[in-house]
Amino acid sequence: MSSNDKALLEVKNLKKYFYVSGGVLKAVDDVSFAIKKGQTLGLVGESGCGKSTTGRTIIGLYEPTGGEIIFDGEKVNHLTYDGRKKFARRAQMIFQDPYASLNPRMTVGDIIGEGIDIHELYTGKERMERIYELLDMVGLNREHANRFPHEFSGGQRQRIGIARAMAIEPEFIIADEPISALDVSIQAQIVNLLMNLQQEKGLTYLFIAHDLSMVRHISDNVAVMYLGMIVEMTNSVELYANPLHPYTQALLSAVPIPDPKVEKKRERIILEGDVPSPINPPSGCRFRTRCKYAMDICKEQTPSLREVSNGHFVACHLFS
Amino acid sequence: MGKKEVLLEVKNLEYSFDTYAGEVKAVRGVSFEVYKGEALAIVGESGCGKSVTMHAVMKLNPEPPGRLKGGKIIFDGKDITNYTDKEMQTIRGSEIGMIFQDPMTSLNPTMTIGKQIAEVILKHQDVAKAEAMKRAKEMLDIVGIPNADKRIHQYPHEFSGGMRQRAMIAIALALRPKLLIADEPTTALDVTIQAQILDLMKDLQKQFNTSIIIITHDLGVVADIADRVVVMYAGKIVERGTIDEIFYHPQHPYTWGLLRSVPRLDAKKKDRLVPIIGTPPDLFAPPIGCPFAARCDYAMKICYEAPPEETCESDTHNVTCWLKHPYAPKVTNPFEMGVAADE
Amino acid sequence: MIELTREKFERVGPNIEESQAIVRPSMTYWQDAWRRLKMNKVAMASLVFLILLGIMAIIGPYMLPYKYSDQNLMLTNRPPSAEHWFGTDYLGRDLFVRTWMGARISLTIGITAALLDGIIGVIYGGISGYFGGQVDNVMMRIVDILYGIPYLILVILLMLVMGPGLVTIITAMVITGWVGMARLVRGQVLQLKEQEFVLAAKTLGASPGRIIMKHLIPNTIGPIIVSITFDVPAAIFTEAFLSYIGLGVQPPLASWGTLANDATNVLLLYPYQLFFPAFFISVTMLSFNLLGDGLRDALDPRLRK
Ligand SMILES: Nc1ncnc2c1ncn2[C@@H]1O[C@H](COP(=O)(O)OP(=O)(O)OP(=O)(O)O)[C@@H](O)[C@H]1O
Ligand SMILES: Nc1ncnc2c1ncn2[C@@H]1O[C@H](COP(=O)(O)OP(=O)(O)O)[C@@H](O)[C@H]1O
Ligand code: SF4
Ligand code: SF4
Ligand SMILES: [Mg+2]
Ligand SMILES: [Mg+2]
Repeated sequence: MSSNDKALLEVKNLKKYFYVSGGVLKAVDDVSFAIKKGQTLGLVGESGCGKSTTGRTIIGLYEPTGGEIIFDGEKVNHLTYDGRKKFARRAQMIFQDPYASLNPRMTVGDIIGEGIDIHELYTGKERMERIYELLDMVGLNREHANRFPHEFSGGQRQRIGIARAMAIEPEFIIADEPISALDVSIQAQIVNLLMNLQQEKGLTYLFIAHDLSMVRHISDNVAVMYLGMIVEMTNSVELYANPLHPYTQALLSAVPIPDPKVEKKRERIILEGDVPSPINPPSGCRFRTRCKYAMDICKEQTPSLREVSNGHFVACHLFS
Repeated sequence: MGKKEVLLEVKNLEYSFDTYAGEVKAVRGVSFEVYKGEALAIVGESGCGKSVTMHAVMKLNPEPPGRLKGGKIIFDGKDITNYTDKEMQTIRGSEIGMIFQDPMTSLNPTMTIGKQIAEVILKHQDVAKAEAMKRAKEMLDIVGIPNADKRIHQYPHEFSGGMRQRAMIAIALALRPKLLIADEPTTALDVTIQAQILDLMKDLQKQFNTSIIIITHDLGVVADIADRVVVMYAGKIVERGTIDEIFYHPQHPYTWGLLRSVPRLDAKKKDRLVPIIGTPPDLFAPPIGCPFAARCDYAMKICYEAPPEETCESDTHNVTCWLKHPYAPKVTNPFEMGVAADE
Repeated sequence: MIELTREKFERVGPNIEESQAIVRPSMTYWQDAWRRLKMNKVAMASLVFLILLGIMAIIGPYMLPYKYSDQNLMLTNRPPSAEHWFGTDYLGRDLFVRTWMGARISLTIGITAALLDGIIGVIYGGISGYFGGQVDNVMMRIVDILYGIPYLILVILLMLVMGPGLVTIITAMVITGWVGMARLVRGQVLQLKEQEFVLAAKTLGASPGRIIMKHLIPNTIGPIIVSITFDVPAAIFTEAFLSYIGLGVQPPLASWGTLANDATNVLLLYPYQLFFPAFFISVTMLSFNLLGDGLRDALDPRLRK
């Protein structure tokens, strides 16, 4: 248990169900992981598999249906308003959509200053100084404080979102696909910025992404999600060198390699079909409808996440 | 390779938008050609004029505010530069097919998929309705949509994102056009679905011998599908060449930047990424010199003062950069060394 | 042509400040909306007309040396002349002065009712939409009930309780009038509150009041203004209608509705008396509606570029 003592965030059997017209949508179904202080966990999976829901439930935007969220030794699910406000100072979020995540009627200065205002950290001249400092920190110009969000490019907007989260000096940040909507050249800027901030301030990240390529550069550990469950989790060296779950292998293989010779020689694993609906997921292993190794047992039993080698967790009947 | 026939030729295209603040010079003198049966990739960061260029060819930009300022567009031997919208309609869909980034906004939500494919066929060919529906079903089979019989009677919202893009491809290819223009066809899709769609496009290209123009900002996609590459920046072409030339002998610092910023999953260890610093210029007031100067590690005084001219590296490889000038300091091309070790 | 010398090829490197600079002039939402409204000739003409109307409502009654209630039984039902620009009515009261007095009353009622509708509707709809769930359910059922009350019965009841007059009319209009605005705002808020910028504010620890006032309402302000612009002519018409059937402001006060009512009594003999109130009622309503259309286009965020 000693290693767990250092975990800043611990998520235990987290469940989040939505009650929709077609039935119960199990967006997150029994997810557990821990992130140590100063480290980054990458959370990867296709669209609709429950990554954002996981992040939003942890930060308190959704009430969990079940399970526990423990931050720095304290339970933070079902907080009161005051409790949430206190928690907010320590944990923040960066959002996916550079267009929808900034209020179009507020100046950039006011957007970045919002956390400062809510928590009454600074006022007047000091507040402005702090906003300039934050703009510098994310690589924008001071003159940008009086501009409105629609005047910026996608990458610049994401920087504004990062500055807004950093304004109240949190220890933990959930980055929900902060780079998915950006050009590759700009994605690298944002990843590097986040890594620099982590080094300077000792931040802890939960970094959400929908493919495995960029995550590798920022994560210490990576968890792969499919239809509300974690199917594989290990450190980022091991995952890329030795992916075990058939879904992880397919995800890795789907990322094109920017090298025509390699790309033409490469045998791709092309997954058939789409992710099934989370309202009526397949019985047993949820991946079985697209898995080329599917066996009889996969239909009947849901494989549990178990440690197959030191620190390498997989949920697949091939490894039990 | 034998003699290649030119299918589409764009010469010195200039396109602007008149906005409240003034003229946005979205495309500033772009020339390229597409050969029969090849796949040409247009790459560059968002806002650099890729879509506007192709929309200008297809006359799909809103006019006004858009305005064709100059240049020539020759498709299949015909000068279509000054075609009216009506004349374009005979070409759109039948000779040039197009697919877009967001299939939901380009499909009609109130019409079944089958009808939408049949409509394209009926518009351009004199066939019976039943025949058109039969061909619509065949198209869905061809693009790999299972249960085509049932699917032709469904509406776009009943399709997943990947299937909608397949349906778009079915519509675009229903009349076997000579050219398929794909504007970021996989940007909105998951990687696993992207892999499916790229595979399908490659298959169909072979099957129908269609030329493809694929617009993307992802060099991985380019490596997978393209024969030749055009690199655009701030409304201009900065480098163009065959896929091998662009990936193994790139000459322009912007191309270097693009190549360096892509993470490579096949690399043994995770290096720190090398991004291109800064942001592309606003084409409302493009810089007078090289548009890339403010972000270029190699920028020289001249780069801020005058735009460079295009130079030839080989028959197929052109570069627009002051580094090619004899007075320029010698810089080591960060990509040539890697190749030398490779071969 | 720049002369190419070796010295020009000295390496100076990138300029990061410059590459981040924004060159376009800054334009706020309001400046942009105003720019687009100005391009709409019809809406601008309506706006000019309404401004002139407002000015006349203020100074018009003082332009001739009569009071709106001054009777002159020697000069009844006179046609327009140099002394009485719009003529006189059956009690010899000057119709020019009475028309602009009427404009005061009609515009006051229209604008006050629309603003009160707006304020109540925005607060109610904002709360209902923001909290959602059960709160929303209960609040919207109340709206449905209010919506179902026949308007005239309400007016007559209020007349009995409060007596006829300006305040009664406005109260009657507002009691049922705000529900349209409440529904509009609720719909907008339901959409907006899922937007990431609202989630970001919640994550920062913002209180519900702050989120509604700083994030939700400012982003609904366009449709709210448009809706108020359409509510004004509706209220003016309702007042005219109530006055016309005798439930409106009481003599000697005049509104366009009572003027029209008086004029119909003598319509066969002096048809021109109906012309002025009818003309101003219709042109004012038309102008507000055209302006509303123009504002809708100008304030629509989807058309922004
Ligand atoms: N408020 C909600 N009500 C009902 N269903 C929801 C809600 N939020 C999310 N869902 C559903 O839960 C599932 C998981 O959604 P989530 O947004 O977490 O996916 P994601 O992995 O973040 O995907 P993406 O890559 O598209 O962002 C989806 O099927 C989604 O439709
Ligand atoms: N309808 C329009 N009105 C004004 N400017 C436009 C319009 N469409 C595109 N632009 C501008 O043209 C430039 C090139 O855009 P585009 O071709 O869409 O870029 P991309 O390379 O990402 O496809 C951008 O600066 C963009 O803002
Ligand atoms: S449990 Fe079975 S179906 Fe699931 S991934 Fe493993 S082999 Fe495939
Ligand atoms: S011309 Fe100058 S600034 Fe432009 S890419 Fe070449 S070296 Fe860089
Ligand atoms: Mg998400
Ligand atoms: Mg584009």
